Amino acid sequence: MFNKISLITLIVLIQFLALPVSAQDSSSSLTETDFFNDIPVVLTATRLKQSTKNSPTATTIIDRDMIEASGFTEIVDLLKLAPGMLVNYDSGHIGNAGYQFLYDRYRTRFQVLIDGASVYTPLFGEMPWTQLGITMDDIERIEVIRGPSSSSYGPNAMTGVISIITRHAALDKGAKFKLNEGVNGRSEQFATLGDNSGNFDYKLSVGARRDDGFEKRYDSKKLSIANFRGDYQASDNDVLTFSMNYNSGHYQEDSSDNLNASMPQHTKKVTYSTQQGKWIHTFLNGNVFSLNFYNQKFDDNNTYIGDYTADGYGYAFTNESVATRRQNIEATYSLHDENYNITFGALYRRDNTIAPEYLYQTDKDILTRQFFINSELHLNSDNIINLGILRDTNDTGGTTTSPRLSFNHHFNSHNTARISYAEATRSPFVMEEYTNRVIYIPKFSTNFTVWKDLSDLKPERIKTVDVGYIGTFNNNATNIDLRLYKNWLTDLIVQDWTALSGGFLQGDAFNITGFEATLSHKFTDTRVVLNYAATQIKAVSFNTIPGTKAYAYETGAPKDNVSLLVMHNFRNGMNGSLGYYHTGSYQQLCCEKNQQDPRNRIDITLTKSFKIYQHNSKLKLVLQNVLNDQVATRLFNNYDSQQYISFSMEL
Amino acid sequence: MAKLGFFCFLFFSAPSYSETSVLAVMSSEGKIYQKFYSSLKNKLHENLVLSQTTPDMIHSEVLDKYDLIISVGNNATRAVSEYKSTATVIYSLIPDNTHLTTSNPCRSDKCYKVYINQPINRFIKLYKMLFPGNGTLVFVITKPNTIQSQRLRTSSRKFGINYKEIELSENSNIARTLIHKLNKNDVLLALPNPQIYNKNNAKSIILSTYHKNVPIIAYSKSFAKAGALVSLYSNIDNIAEETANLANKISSTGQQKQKEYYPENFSVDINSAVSESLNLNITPKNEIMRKIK
Repeated sequence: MFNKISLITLIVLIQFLALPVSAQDSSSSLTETDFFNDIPVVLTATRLKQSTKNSPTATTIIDRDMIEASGFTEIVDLLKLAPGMLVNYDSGHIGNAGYQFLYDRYRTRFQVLIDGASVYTPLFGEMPWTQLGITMDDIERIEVIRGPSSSSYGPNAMTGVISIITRHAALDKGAKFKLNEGVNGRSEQFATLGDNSGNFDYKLSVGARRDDGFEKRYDSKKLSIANFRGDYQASDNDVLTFSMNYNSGHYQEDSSDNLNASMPQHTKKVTYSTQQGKWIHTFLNGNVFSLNFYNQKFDDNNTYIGDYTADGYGYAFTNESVATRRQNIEATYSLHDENYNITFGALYRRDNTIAPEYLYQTDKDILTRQFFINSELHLNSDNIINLGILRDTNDTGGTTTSPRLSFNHHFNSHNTARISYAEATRSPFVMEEYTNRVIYIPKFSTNFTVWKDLSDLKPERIKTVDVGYIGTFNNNATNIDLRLYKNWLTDLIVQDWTALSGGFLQGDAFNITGFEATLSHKFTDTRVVLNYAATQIKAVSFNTIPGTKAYAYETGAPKDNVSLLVMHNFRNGMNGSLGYYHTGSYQQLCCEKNQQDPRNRIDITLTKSFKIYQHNSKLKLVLQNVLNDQVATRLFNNYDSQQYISFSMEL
Repeated sequence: MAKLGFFCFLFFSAPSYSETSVLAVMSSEGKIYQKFYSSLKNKLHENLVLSQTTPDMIHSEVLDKYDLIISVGNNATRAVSEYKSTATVIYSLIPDNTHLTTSNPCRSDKCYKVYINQPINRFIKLYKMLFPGNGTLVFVITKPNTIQSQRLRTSSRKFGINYKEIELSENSNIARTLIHKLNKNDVLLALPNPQIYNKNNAKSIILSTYHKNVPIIAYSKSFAKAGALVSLYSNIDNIAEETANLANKISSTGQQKQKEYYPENFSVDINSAVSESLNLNITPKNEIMRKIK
């Protein structure tokens, strides 16, 4: 209730504050200075979309139109629009994604960046998708780099990179609000105000979200989001960008079918905030220097009285709270020419973790230093070589070097082939390297060590060979992207869950062979994007924890995975979309022994645009999971068909 | 002594080497005008004797002392056109009359104009070459039916290309308007209009068109650097050269029939990062130049 009242107040305030953003300038007479004056450099290399033809790695771009047409309200769901991406839920507010395979909610094996800053949490390597301080409407596009990319983005970009690019403040001038109301307690309100003052463009977004989670779970969420972004054009060649994101919410937690039997239903509070500053300087010759500072704070306040009576330990105060802080500074210099693009730079990161129970009162600082150079060399107009290498030194993984080499050949302006080889790593997360989970049991007046630091871990490693084809036809209206790859993963870190003696060990290995395809076509009023992925995992070594079976790995990926998004403009202010998502049978997040059935989901959206007192408005009906497909999992993460209505207005 | 006197007589009365006195009135002492002046000086024939001044230093008596006045830029045009001079006048570095100019400065037959901008057909040819498919050329206007948009419509019809206009009403939000009205396969043609393409709006325009995957064909070098796909423009040297060629012709063959000139030489700048990012295959610069010349 508080969220709604405060939001309505804010919307009214915004309406009063919203100043018209003028297309007119007082001086209308054209002079020679209009021809020779400098214009600020707007599309710097960091703002430009990855070129799919010249890229060393297969890249999928989920653009604004796709984001809006999908009808998704969770950022993590958008990843279903990239081939090979798997999305599953641990609970209503814990969304998980994996590329090619997905075993659990922890150890994200791809890098997630928001405007260039790495946002996973350092303790578990978990991605707090719901807790990000941005809304769906803040996202300009998502670039999914499908393939090991540690040579550019460091350890954790082991299988790929999800790069979320938010909207420049200049794109969102004026005021806007949006309301989503639907079944299952879904209620969302968002408001945005953008304006400029001289060379300073700024945007403020606020939002409130709540829903009841899955039907049979105690997993509702209620959160507030606020973010500010300012883009200051200090000179024609200098841009300073500041952003601050804040997300705070209450989340219900349960044990779901006694998977964590000691945990009673309770509510936790999570707060996530970031501050980012970026300076981009473009030299007269087109070279670019950028400096990026990022500060992230994550507080997961999660305590409860654990019920260990079944084990004979009675009740015990359990503190699963985690507080992490990341400070990151990165400098890059890019040289551009018709025949080459070269970027080199360095990064320094400090990750601090306080987790009283998991690290037993120890405050861990992890320092990371990276040096990297990546080059795109145009041998001639048809042949491109990409070379990259990154050297990383950090306190959990030691020193690693990740190289990449790729060759792209343009047969003609329509057909391009790519072959590449890359090596990448994932450094152990803090929990893996330093685990020391201790619980005080009052009944025995003593501490029990549940899991301990069993060994000194090395980074996980991946080697990959990739062959790709990119076709563009009909003036870019038709695009084909094919990828065939083989991955060799070694030194995998595994968890021994055995109470009082468990911890993290290393040594398993598996190979992945896969094929991915994207076909997209733009008709006059219709756009179709079809993704397909086939993945096969072959366990090579799986006995680090005795008794582990090969299927523990081999069921981590569905054999096939399809997404289809059809967007249609009915021309009378009506737009519609149809999304079809098929995921083959694969492992449940909780339980490796039970696979979940294939899942088919169809979403339909219908949007009507109209004007209310000259204000652009939209009314959108979203039907999710219209087939009402239910997949039995031990987590009970299923809901019936859902519907919501969205109304938005630009003021 | 008598011989020396005779020689001097011949020397000073020699009709074959008549000098043309030329006054360049520069809009200011700024860098671009000095560059124009030095380029003009280099290209003028030896018999054209060039001096320069600024608008605040001129009056009828000064102008009447010269055979040829070259007014450079907007301020100079305004100042020179105020006087009824008997001299031939070239107004250079001014936009053509399709643009938002003040009144026509020419009042006599001895008046010429060398434009700063490109002829519209040159842009249309460039568009046609870069986007031979079924795209639509989009032009943003602030009021309908200007000479400029009429010419664009005519030229588009002539070359058989789709053309549409997006009107920006007063107080409209440029980014929102473009995002709502641009479609796939659109290409934005940005022609100089300070009401639309100024320093304040450039960012919104470039970002919103890029957001819609719509490339921009623009009119100034800095636009391509800022984020347009391609820019077609003449630099100061090109326009000074065109002006010098005209002055040389007038000096050697008298008044010319053609009164308006667009710079014959021009440049094309391609932002390769933008073309790569939009997955566009752009014809090499030299080929473009050769084909649209």
